[in-house]
Amino acid sequence: MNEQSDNRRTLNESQMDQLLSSFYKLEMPSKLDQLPSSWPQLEAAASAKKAKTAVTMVAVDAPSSGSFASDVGTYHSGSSLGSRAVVAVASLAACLAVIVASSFSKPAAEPTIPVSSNVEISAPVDDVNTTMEEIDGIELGEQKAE
Amino acid sequence: MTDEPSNKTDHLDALYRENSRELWAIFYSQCSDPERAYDAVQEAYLKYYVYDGEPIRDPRAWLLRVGQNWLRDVARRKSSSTKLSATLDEVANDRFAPDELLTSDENRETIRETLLKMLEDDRRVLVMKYALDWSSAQMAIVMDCTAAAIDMRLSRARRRLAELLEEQGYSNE
Repeated sequence: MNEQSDNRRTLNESQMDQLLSSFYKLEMPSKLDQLPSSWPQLEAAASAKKAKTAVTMVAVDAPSSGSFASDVGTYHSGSSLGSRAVVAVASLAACLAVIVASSFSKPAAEPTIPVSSNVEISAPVDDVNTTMEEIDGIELGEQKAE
Repeated sequence: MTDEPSNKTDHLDALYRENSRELWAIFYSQCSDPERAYDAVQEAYLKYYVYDGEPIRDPRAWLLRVGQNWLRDVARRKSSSTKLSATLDEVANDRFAPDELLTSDENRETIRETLLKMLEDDRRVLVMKYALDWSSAQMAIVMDCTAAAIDMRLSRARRRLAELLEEQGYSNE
């Protein structure tokens, strides 16, 4: 412990032993010896759990407690109204999604091949049935003045 | 029917007698705060009491995990407001006297702060040795190593703590 000159002041083994024994005995809370059965929190925790269980049971039972709206016998339960609203909103959202998607997915216009405005083709050229004479007869229009 | 809650409480008490000190020591080695470590113990046992899920095969491991998770959550919440105690500066250059050192709350806080600078395993062997009076063999079982390794770790931890305390002004001069 005291080998180096700058460590001469460092506490030695027995001092550390004494220090740590006293320190940890002071640190350990005396209430650690109280058994859980004597804790007030134990009762509170049990009560809280009971209350939570009761709330859960009420929530589970709630959907069956609907009400008859009229003598005709139209039955409205809270859950069915809620589910209808959800369905309506979902349908609306789906419609909007389709509209938005279709507006973005329109195919781009086909690129137009620029045809020289100086040439006018008056006969089929690529027709396989066209004879050589016919091909020869292809008339080219007059060159337009620019 | 009326015996059921009583049995449950008796079981909890028995479990508490068996494990609470060790759990406190482990939690304390994590946070260096005796009150918070106790709160973690209490929290774990309260959760165990109201738990009604799948059967718990290893209650000690379950309590340990619940307490450690609680400590972690608390540490996360408090991390923004945590700051080092001013006592570190205030007590610097004090001369060492073990009895005087421990009579002051500020000095005990300084030792806690200093312990937090050490490795968690080092703190754990220290608290098991000095708070629980465990033997090296007992510690070896819990820490899954040999008794010789525990002795070595203990010696190293004491030396390291002495050095850190010397930096804080606690010396043998």
